[in-house]
Amino acid sequence: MKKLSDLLPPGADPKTELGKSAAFASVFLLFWSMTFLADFSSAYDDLFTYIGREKILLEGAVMERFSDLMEGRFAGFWPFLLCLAVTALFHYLSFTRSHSIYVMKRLESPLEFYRRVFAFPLLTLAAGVLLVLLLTGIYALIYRFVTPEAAYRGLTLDFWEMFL
Amino acid sequence: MIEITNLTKTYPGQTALSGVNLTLAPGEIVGLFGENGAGKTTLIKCILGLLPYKGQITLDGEPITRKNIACLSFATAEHSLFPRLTPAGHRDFYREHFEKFNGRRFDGLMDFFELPKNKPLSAFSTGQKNQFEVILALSQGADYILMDEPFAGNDVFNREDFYKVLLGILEPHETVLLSTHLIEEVSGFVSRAVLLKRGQIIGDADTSGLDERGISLIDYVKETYRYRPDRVGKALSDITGKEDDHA
Repeated sequence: MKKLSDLLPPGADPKTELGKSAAFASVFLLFWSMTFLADFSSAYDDLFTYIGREKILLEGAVMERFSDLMEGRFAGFWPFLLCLAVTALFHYLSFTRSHSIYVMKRLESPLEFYRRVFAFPLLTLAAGVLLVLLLTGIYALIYRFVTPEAAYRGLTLDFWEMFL
Repeated sequence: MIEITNLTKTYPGQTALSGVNLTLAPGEIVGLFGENGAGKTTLIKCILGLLPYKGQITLDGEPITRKNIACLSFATAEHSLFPRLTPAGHRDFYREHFEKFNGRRFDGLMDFFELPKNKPLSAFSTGQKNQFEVILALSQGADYILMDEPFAGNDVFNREDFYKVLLGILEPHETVLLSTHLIEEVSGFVSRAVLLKRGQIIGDADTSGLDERGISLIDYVKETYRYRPDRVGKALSDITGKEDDHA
């Protein structure tokens, strides 16, 4: 298993790179989760009416579909992808601007160069996809177990619509 | 042996090298001389495969590919260093990727030039970067060490020290191709002089042969380049309108 520093341009600080990725992931995590919870609680509240302080489920009320709640939820993934592409470009430019690409071209394995340009952005992309899957699972569990049984409409989901 | 046959390199609207034929044998220290734009850097970059070209360049009869390119090292005034990496980090990187990396030579030269080992290269002066660039080229374990104006920005004492050290440390099989304008300075150091003009080799001579003929390297270069010593005087006379006292 390669060290993280072997997946970055020589001299790049893995802690800084990881820190940037973690900060980025945290922002998306917070934004996606807060907007989901806000939309979910709004849809949930629409199921009820209040008589005095008593909360009563409206007759025939059904919860907004999970697929509708999730539509466009992860649209922020595209800017995230763009940031990863820019990161890879910066990695590439770090070799060309410093002319250290002359050294990379003298290495026996051409993969060494490509690994140091693309590996970290690709790993971050994989982590991003995992985060999306994890959040989708968590949101599905919230939807499944918080929605009143009478208003529950199943867990259908159009995967791509989450990103559009 | 590096053999260059009928090497031609063109840029849009310009021919940088035209039909160059050159052989570099093991153990030679070759000075590559020529005016700005003569094609020195282009020739070196073609050998290293950094530029596409027409013609043939072989190393011990084989084309230069990833398999054998570690036999070549390169020191350039452009600096091919990793700016955020320290010298110690460079040593580790080279040791990992170049099988024949000479750590003893690296450490010895680092001590000789009194370069800091744990400071990122971005904090080095241009002169220090030049020195470190050359140290890496010499320590890579390459049989052919290509240098392109490696001392641009270094003071004369530094350069003189360096030539002495270089002559002392080179193994008999190590070949140096040194592109420089400092002809007089390297005259006691190179064993052969190759002269480029407008992309063509116009002179190729052993310095020992020149010595035997009583010709200095600088005179050989001037003669081959058809240098006109009265040119300055004429120009001054034309500009100032005074009679030439400088010829």
